[in-house]
Order: sequence, then C-alpha cells, then structure tokens
Amino acid sequence: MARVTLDTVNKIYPSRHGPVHAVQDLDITIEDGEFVAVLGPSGCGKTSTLRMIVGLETITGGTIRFDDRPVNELTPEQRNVAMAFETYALYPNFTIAENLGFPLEVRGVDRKAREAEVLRVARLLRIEDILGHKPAHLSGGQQQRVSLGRALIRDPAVFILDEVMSHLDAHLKLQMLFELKRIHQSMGKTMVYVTHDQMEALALADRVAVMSNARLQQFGTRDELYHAPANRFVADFIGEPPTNFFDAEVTETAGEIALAVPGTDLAFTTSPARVAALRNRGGKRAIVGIRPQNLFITPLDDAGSVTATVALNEYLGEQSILTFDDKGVSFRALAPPDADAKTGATVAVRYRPADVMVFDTDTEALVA
Amino acid sequence: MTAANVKLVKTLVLAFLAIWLVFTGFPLFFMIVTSLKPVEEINRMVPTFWPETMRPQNYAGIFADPGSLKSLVDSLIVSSANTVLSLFLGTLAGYALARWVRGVVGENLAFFILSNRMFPPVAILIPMFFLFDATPWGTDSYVSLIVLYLVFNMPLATWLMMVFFRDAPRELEEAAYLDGYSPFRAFFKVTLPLVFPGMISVAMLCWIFAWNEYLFANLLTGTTVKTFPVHIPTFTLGSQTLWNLVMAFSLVAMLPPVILFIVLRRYMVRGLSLGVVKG
Ligand SMILES: Nc1ncnc2c1ncn2[C@@H]1O[C@H](COP(=O)(O)OP(=O)(O)OP(=O)(O)O)[C@@H](O)[C@H]1O
Ligand SMILES: [Mg+2]
Repeated sequence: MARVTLDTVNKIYPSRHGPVHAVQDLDITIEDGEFVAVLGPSGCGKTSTLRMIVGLETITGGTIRFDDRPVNELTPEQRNVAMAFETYALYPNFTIAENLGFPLEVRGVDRKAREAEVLRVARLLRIEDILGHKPAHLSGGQQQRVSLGRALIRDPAVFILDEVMSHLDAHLKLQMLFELKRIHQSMGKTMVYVTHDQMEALALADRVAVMSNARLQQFGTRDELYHAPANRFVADFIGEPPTNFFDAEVTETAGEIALAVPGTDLAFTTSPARVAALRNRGGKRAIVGIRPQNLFITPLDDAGSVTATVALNEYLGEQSILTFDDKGVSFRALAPPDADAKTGATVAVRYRPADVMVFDTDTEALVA
Repeated sequence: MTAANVKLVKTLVLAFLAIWLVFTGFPLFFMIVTSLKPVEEINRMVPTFWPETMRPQNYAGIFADPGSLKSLVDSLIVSSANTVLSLFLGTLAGYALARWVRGVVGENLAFFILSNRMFPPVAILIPMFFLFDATPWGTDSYVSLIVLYLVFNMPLATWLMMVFFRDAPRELEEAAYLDGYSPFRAFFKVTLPLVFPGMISVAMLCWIFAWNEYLFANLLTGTTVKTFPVHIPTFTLGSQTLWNLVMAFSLVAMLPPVILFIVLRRYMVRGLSLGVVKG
C-alpha cells in the first residue's frame, strides 16, 4: 500500500547523439489505492517514467517517494513493485504455469499454494488452457495476458502496467478492461497504467496524467480533461473524433466579444467567464476549440450558430460524422444518422457558448 | 519464374554442388586411400587411386610410436583448457560489454578487443617466444600454449558472446529483479540459459582453433609438450616422408572435432538463430 509521489523528476539518457531528455520536471502525486493512467503519444516518456518508479532506471533529477519515504536509492525488490512489461518479458524456457508462478517461487511460497494461485490468475485472464505451453508458441495477445498475470499474482505496494492491452482484439480488450477494473476494486492497490489509447485510460483510471514531449500536460479526472483541457494538446488528444480548432481574431462590437475566423463567415461567442478572461488577457488573436460532439444541426436552446456547407457525410452506424466547409476552413460534427444534411446543403450549425474553448495563440494554454 | 527457369536454376545449383563436392571430397578420398597404401606405393610417379595392396595395419602402426597417443592427449589438454578459459572470460566480458559498458566507449572497446584477431599472428611469433621464455613455466609447457591461444580465442569469444547477450532481452533480467532475484541469480538463472546454445557454438570454434593450431605450437613447444600438428611431420624414414602414416594419423586426429560437431550440432544451429523468442 503506498502513495506514490514524483517530485520534479527528470530523466536524461546519454546517447551517441547527445543527451536525450526523456522526462522533464514531472510532478505527480498518486494517492494510495488510486488507479492512475499515464496517457500520451509514442516516445513521450511514459515507459521511462515507469522504469524510474520501479527502480530499473536511475533518476537523473528529482525525488520519488513511496508514502513519505524517498526510494531513489532502493532496488526494485526493496520497493516491492510488480510490473508488466510492454515487451512481455516472459521467460522463454519456462512454461506458462512456471512463468506465472515464478514471483511466488522466488518468495518461497510452497508448491500447493503456488499452483492454486496460478490457476486462479489463469482463470481470471482466460489462459488456463495454455498453462503447459512455452511462451514461443503463444499469440501476442496470449503472451500479453501471461505477462499481466505474472504481475497480478503478486501482492506488491504498487502495480505498474505498461501497455498491457495493446495486442488484444477489441472484444477481449473490453473484457480485460472490465476484469482489471474489478481486480483493482477488490484489491484496492495503487495502480499505474500506461497506454497510448485514450479509451483504455478514460475507462479505467480515477485520474489520467497526459504526457507529451517529456512533460506532463495535465493530470486530472476524465471530466477535467474533457471539459477543461489545460492546453490545446490535451483538447486535441482527448476525445474522438478530435477537437476542431480555428485560428480566430478577437473582435468587439458594441461591447460584445466574438471570435471570428478570418476569411470565413464563422464567428463564435463563448461563456461569460471566458469572455472576462479574454478581456483580461488582451491580445488580438486566440485559438478556438470546439468538440464535434458539441456541434448540432438540430435546433438547440440558447445556442449560438454558424452557417456552413456540408462537404462530406460519413455514416458510421450509430452516428454520422459531418465534415463542413466554409471558404476553405473545414471542421467536423457528430450527428444522428437520420440527420437531414445532404452533401452540398448549407445548414445552421449550433453550439452552446459554454462549449467553446479558447486557447492562447502563443502558449496554447487554456484561457480560463 | 517459369517452370523452365526453375529447372535451369536447379540444374545449375546441382552442377555447382557437384563441382564443389569434387573439390572438397577428392582430397578426403585421396587421404583415405593413401592411408591404406603400403610405403612402396606412395611415391609412384603415376599415383594409384585405389591401393594395389591394402594395408589397414598403418592405423596400428602410427601408434607404435608412443609419441602419437601422447600428442593427441597433449592437444586435448591444451585445447580443452583453453576453451574453458576463453569461454569463461569471454562470457563475463561479453556480458559486461552488452549490458553495462555502453555508449561510445563500449562500442570502441568491443571493436578494439576484436581487432586483436585481425593482427597477423606471425608478426608476434618471435616476441612471444621470448616473452614465454621469461616466464617461470617457460615456452615448452601446457600453460604457455593455453595462455597464448587466449590471445586468439578470447576476443572471438568475447565478441560473439556480446552479440548473443545483446539479443537476449534485457527485460527478462529486469523482470527477475522485480521478482526478487539478485543480479547474479538473474544472470545465471535467466540470461545464461538463453545464450547457452550460443556458448556451445563459441566453445566449438575455440576448441577447433586450439586443436589445429600449428605455427605457435611448433615454435614454442616440441619436447615436454607436443601437440598433434607438431607430431605429424615426424612420420619419416630417413629423408622420406611416410605419407601413408601421415594421412592415417591426420584422419585419426580429425575424428574428435567431427564427433564433437555431430554431437553438438543441434545447439550450434540454435546458437546462430538466438533471439527469435521476442514479443
Ligand atoms: N535507454 C535509452 N537510451 C536513450 N534514449 C532512450 C532510452 N530509452 C528511451 N529513450 C528515449 O526517450 C524517449 C522516451 O522513451 P519512452 O520509452 O519513455 O517513451 P514511451 O512514452 O514509453 O513510448 P512508447 O509509447 O513508444 O512506448 C524516446 O525519445 C526514446 O527514444
Ligand atoms: Mg513505452
């Protein structure tokens, strides 16, 4: 049981082409028993962060604490963490059962108890039929589950799971996500789950740490990430399809602030709080962000609206994705499949001012 | 490719193999034939390609000289001891180079070690003689040859083991650390079994080099210690070389490596295809 604190943690790898700053000034506090996902594009430093937490990589700068105890100098064993590796790291000359039982065997658990545990975990991960096989004969998805099982069989202070579902098919992934959530709830252990798939992160985690370019972009709950993204990157990365962004000019007519997209007829208004923040900030330009889910072609109360031409109507079963075009600026909206929006039609697109996010043009940080 | 082309390629490949077989097979054949001839038959102007009189007694004859058996035993001692040492040092050094000495230094150090193999051995022949002459055990001893062959075998063993260790995923050791293994235990229990087939291949290469080495053995040793390549030219009668005995003895000396290869072939093939068990 442990609260994990990262205090301005840095990782710099020396390399042939000069130092690589893989993790920069990372500050995160993971509460005891919390399920935290670390989300970010490939190469942003997720694995490096995990490896520093478990003690497989030296910490170039900063402190990592378990509860209040600095662990920088402790070995992985002393930190008592369990980890599932991105590359599975199954022992090739052991059978699956031996792989799963290995952590227990090292700890001197007797044979009977070990076998019972192996069977329990194997059932949980639906791999009980391959216990006698060697890893080389398994599919990627099966190996991945064995690797997850070898971590879950232990009783550590912290679980660290690195991309443990990337090779599972969609159906199995959903089942496993559900199982993992249940395992977490029944054990109440601190879990850190790394992924580049926002669906997994949002489905599992109490809080999500979004990383990009070696830096933490935002650490918050699903709602915070979705409704108040700290910057343009988070707004872009979280949500599917991605957020529409417009480079806009801040215009003021008769005391009303509007965000007009130059060269088009598009102009958005935003919430009073953001208007106040914009006034405070000053400046002529801003980036407008609005999610496709928050654009409607059906009538909507107290809404603003813009007019645009439907350039494409993609029917995706339960929803359609409409792509609009207004004088060369395109954006997308989600609509019900029966929406009356034929290609070429000009329609009113409505939005709530509260859903219009505004970012600084230079820093890309959220304005209010 | 059309069917005709496939046939043509097949024919060409077979033709090439046939020629190749003649080139490699004939010397062996002639060795065997010569080893079965009586002395009178070996120096004819027009050689016979099949013995007119069979003399399998040649094989017993070579061992009439007690030096023959001793030379094989000497070779066995030198090459085996050298192989064990090369493999031990090469495995440790290779592991260190693969895992711990990284970056620019590591690459250059590894290459420097291997570059010892590119040095023409003759260049150090005479210095080596004086060098070993100055040691307490002198030139004509097991120790001198065992140590000297390290110059050639250890770089090879180090380099190859380094390559094998690089192919053995590091995460396996790391997983073992997390599960509570010490670095030592993880090395012996997790990593070493992975590179074991590679070690067998390296051992074979080292052993065969030391088994067949002639140049240095001839210069340094010859009285107390005499390896079989040095013993071979001693089958003479006056000024005449007894080719039948030379061939018989050479064939006998070929047996140990051939048997070793057949027994360990399984591992050698796996040693060369190491690192396929990956994610
Ligand atoms: N041992 C190393 N030596 C040098 N650079 C490294 C090393 N390990 C990682 N890096 C670099 O550090 C950066 C972060 O790598 P890291 O593996 O932490 O990313 P990641 O977020 O886990 O990516 P992925 O989603 O692809 O697994 C990358 O640019 C990578 O090239
Ligand atoms: Mg990674």
